[in-house]
Amino acid sequence: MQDWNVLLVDDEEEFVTTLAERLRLRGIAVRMSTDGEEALRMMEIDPPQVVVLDVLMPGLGGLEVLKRIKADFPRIKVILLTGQGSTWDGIQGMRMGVFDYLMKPLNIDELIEKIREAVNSGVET
Amino acid sequence: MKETTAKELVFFGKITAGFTHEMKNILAIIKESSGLMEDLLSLSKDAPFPHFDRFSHRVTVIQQQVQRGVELAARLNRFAHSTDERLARIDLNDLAEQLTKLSERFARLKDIGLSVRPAESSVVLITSPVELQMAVFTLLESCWNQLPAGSEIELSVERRGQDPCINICFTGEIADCSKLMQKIEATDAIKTVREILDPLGIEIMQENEMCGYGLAFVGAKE
Repeated sequence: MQDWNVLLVDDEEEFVTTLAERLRLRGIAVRMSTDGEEALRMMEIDPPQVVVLDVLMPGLGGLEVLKRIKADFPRIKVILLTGQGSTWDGIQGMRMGVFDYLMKPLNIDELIEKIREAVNSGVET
Repeated sequence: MKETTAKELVFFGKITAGFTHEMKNILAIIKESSGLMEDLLSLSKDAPFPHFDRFSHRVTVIQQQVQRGVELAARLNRFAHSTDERLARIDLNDLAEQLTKLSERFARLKDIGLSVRPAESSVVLITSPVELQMAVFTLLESCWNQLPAGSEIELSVERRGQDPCINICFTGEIADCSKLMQKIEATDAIKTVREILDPLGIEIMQENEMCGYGLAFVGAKE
């Protein structure tokens, strides 16, 4: 079991539950939310090390959630999920301080590697 | 291009691009679900599961088809976004590759192969992405409609002096290239191609030596 605390945020429930199950099978502690506001409340109660955040969500969109994370939880690393061909969102996210961005559909090994890098980058030596 | 037509195209592109995003979300769910099935299968490797190999093979097929769908959706998305701006910076290498992928299915139905030979470095210019793609596709279509089955069309990108160029070259069992070019020139499609290209400052030339066409972007702005 990895000693990581990861929060997945994506409005596609089937996507987020399946991805969470796959990560748990690999020993990664993961919580999930399908709503930006709810995700921010979860961060207040138990701040994760890494948030994997979808850009396009109804209500509070990914970039708005990102802005709030940067303001209220600057230590949390964010990996942004964008659609294929939507590199603009990824670049915009990088400008706003995301750790990195990945295109959907994901490669799970690539996601885990990014989470590992994000967690390690936050470890104070 | 008329202003109303341009607005219609932007509308069409916006709706199509939106749908490709949804398609990608669906493909992402299928991909993760098949990935989870694969994970569960690998956990049950030591347990008796009579259909393990058949099940495993089907999961692989699903994943391959998802990948195919992702690539198609990405192409369609990119195509739809080409209506975003009237004029845009275009790399002719990317455009030739994109057009080949978009046209492959149509050419295959005529038993014509399509390939790309990009320039060694980027060949960038500012032009109308929609009109240029429409012109090149229409030209390709009028070519594969006249070419004998089994022929090949190669799109190559180069610079002739300072001018960016796309060459469209035919190979295969072409008995008489000049007769073939006459047949292509007699179609209405080729008139349409010229009507689109002229206002963009793009010259279309018959290239009898290589058997095909050359499109020269004379004095193109980068």
